[in-house]
Amino acid sequence: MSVFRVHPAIGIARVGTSDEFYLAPETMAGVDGAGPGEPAGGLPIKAGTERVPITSADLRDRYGAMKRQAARFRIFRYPDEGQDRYPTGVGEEVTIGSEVDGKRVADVIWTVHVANKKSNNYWTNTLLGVHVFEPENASVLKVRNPQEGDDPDNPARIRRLVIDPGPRAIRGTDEGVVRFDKATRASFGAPGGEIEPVPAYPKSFPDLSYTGMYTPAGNIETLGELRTEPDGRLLVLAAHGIACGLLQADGTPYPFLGDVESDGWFDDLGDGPVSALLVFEDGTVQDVHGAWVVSTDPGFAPQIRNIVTLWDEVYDTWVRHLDLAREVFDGRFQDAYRPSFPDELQPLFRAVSLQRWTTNLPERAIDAHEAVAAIGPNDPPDETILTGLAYIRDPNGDREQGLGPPLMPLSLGDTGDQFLSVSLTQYFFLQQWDRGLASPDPGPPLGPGEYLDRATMANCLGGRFAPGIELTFIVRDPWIYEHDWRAIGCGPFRIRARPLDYRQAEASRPFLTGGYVPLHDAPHALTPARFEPGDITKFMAIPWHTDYNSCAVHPVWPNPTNATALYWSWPAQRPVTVHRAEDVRDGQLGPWRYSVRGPGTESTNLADTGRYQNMLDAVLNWHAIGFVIQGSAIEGDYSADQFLEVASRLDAPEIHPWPMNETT
Amino acid sequence: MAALYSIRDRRSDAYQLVQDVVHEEMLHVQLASNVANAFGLAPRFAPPVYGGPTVPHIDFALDVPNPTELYTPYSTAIGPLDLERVNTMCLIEYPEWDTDRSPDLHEDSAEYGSIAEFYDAVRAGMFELRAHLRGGVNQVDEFRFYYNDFPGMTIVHDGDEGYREAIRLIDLITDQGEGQSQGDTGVAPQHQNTADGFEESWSHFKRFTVIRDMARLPATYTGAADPPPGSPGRRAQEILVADFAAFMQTLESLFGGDGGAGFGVRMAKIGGDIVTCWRRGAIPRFA
Repeated sequence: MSVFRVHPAIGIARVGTSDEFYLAPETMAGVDGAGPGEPAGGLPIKAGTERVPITSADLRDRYGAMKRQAARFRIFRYPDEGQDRYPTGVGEEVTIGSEVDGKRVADVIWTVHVANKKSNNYWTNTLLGVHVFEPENASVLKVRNPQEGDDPDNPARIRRLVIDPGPRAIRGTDEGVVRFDKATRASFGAPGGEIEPVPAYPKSFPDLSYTGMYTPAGNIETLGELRTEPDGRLLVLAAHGIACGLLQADGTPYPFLGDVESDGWFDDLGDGPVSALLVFEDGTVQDVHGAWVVSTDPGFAPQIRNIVTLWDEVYDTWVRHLDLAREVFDGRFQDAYRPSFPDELQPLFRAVSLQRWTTNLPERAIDAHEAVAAIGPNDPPDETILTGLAYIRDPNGDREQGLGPPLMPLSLGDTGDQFLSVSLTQYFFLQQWDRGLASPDPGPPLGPGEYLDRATMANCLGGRFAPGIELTFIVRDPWIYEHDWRAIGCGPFRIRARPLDYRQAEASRPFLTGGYVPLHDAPHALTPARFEPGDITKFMAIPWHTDYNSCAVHPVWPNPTNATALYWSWPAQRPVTVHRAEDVRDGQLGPWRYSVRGPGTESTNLADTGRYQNMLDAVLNWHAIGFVIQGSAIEGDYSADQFLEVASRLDAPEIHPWPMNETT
Repeated sequence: MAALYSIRDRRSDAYQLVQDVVHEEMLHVQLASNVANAFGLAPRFAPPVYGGPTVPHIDFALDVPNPTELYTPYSTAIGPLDLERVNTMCLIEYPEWDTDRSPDLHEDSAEYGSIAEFYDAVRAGMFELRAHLRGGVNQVDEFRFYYNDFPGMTIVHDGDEGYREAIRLIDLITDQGEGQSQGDTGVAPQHQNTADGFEESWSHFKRFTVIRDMARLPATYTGAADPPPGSPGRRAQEILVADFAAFMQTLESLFGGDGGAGFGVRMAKIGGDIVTCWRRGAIPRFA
């Protein structure tokens, strides 16, 4: 017998204005290419190819519209034995035509259900973070859109505020497109191996509940679409990055209330489960352990690795709370553990040096960052610039989150933390390395599906979840994952999904509920509710554009001394300053320029520059922002050592190096 | 730096106060070198030898009252942040009593009673030699964006105008260091770090007196001055000695007009080396 799983466990689709697309990266940012001349990891893949990285010519279509990024899902077969350990190091892909346990795969039926619950969720609390969901803070827990009532489980509220197109199924042998729009029939893969329609599914879109919407960038018509590749792999495409608002009683649109929260607004991101059925030529059907897809902001700097990635966050949670690797943590970090330098340290060191391409780090700091990246697996730690971890912020306890430079990372922290710290597991690995206890060799090999899991998350933001880009602080809640993965056979990092019986759908009432709330018991249960479609992205900013726009640089928060120095929010994921490819002369970089620049972005206060002053402009112009990619992937003659901005539709003035201050 | 990195808790006020002194002293090296270059001198840096009760270059007995009677015991030997080290810092940054008289001018800098008096003498000499001052000579400007309210950290003009620029640099050094007059006046706003400082209105002298007056000094590492050959502590010392010598050469390169390649890396490495010395049970050694 075999075990079947969809990978990546969490896939990431990204919005764009074009109908065209490329595929999500399947290599890791901050890691060398597979061979000589290969670009560094993190580059998306050309549509229709196995792994050909895109070039600058692939970022926009012939009309200049920004292409979307599709999340590609594959099915892997694992032997039944040994599935209680991680990593397994094995797994082989199953496609149409594969022979499995003596049977040939005739088709794959994929079912995906994405929804957007942002407007039916709670406000982000900038001081309490996830703690706002603790029962003792119930008095400050505030629902979004209170004009529709204060109970997120109220069906009437759900109907009006949740965007839910329902499930969609697609065959691996289909050549068409299945859209998450109002017109396309809801459907799912039934256990018998057929696609079953759900004509009564209660679809909900804002314009089905409200008249007179404010649609400056268009109406939300879809949350994306499904396609398949000829071998049966699934592609989930995000929507088009549209945000629209409601009109107030006086006929004016709801105003943007802040960077993260704006009642009366919707966007077209979403998330939800991905399931699959293998249909064999003999008519039998095999269920596959499913995955989850999240649609989110564009990846404007796909090869710039975050200092703390989503992988670092998720792995830290699994190591410390879910017994993933007892050799690393078994009640406490294990002194005998020897972290792998190539796998568990070098990507972090490389990430350090990559920050220069999206920030205005001064020259001396760039030199120091590059010295970190140059550390090799056999270098004695005492002889490197990181000796003693003298400049690394210690994340243990409530210790150093309030200490700024020279401690690193030089970025803002989570809600309630002034500065970013590496994860506890990252810090443990660094400590072991500093003690001379790192191994120069690679760690246990990952199976190809396991690699997809890690690579996908390694290319996403971790650390500063305020609230973040793709996923947020909920990834630190062990209850969002399937705990019993060893018994179930699904492998780690799977979202704890609510079983959805679409045959119970009725047109007269919403199919979805309020869903998961951190630190809250589910009704009639002792643990938080299992995840429904929309339960991940609902914690992100509404609309995402305003948060992306804002999160360039800020003073620290809390700020008891009224300090004016400015620090970066998400520099690897939200480029602040860039070097344009077109400014390079004879291999020499041109000046820094803001990534978000041009008309409407100017300010005399450095705390406000590099972003649109009117948040509506962010909703309208986000797709004009350029991408930062490796020189060797840029059309023309550029160095592989440089990561430069291309495909921007904006232009602008030069800027000076950090530090800088806000004007008070 | 040795005293700073001996402190175990980086959150402590003592750590933050001393850290700012370290940062500002690096600025002072730049400013003093800019002045020296403007007068045609070529800054040279040699690893100093520390130890014993003598603070190099200053004879406190010349000051009345003699501050060593107050700040005792003291020692210039490298060590953790303890009373001896704090007293020494207070002595070095001891402010000049404001007597409104011209400084005593001596050929031998060791004959000055305080560093403040020494700088008074420097000012007098700068005024007398201002016609020889040349702007734009090997000027270094590493810290300008840390001081948004300061008009300029380099000397760009010749003669009288350059002299005024140079005096501004000396003013910044002395204001941040020993403070004005009796040390009870805050550092002027234009001399305060606008980027990442801590209690920026406090002069170095005030910082060290505040630490001295703390009910308890922070917990520090301890170490051996001469760990056994081959021990981790000795190895850490050897790495620091080598790196510090390289850093001195980098400083000469930086202020000699050669760009100071590797300055950012070597500066950071010195700090890490010192931390490692303490953690390996050795007192940092610089030469």
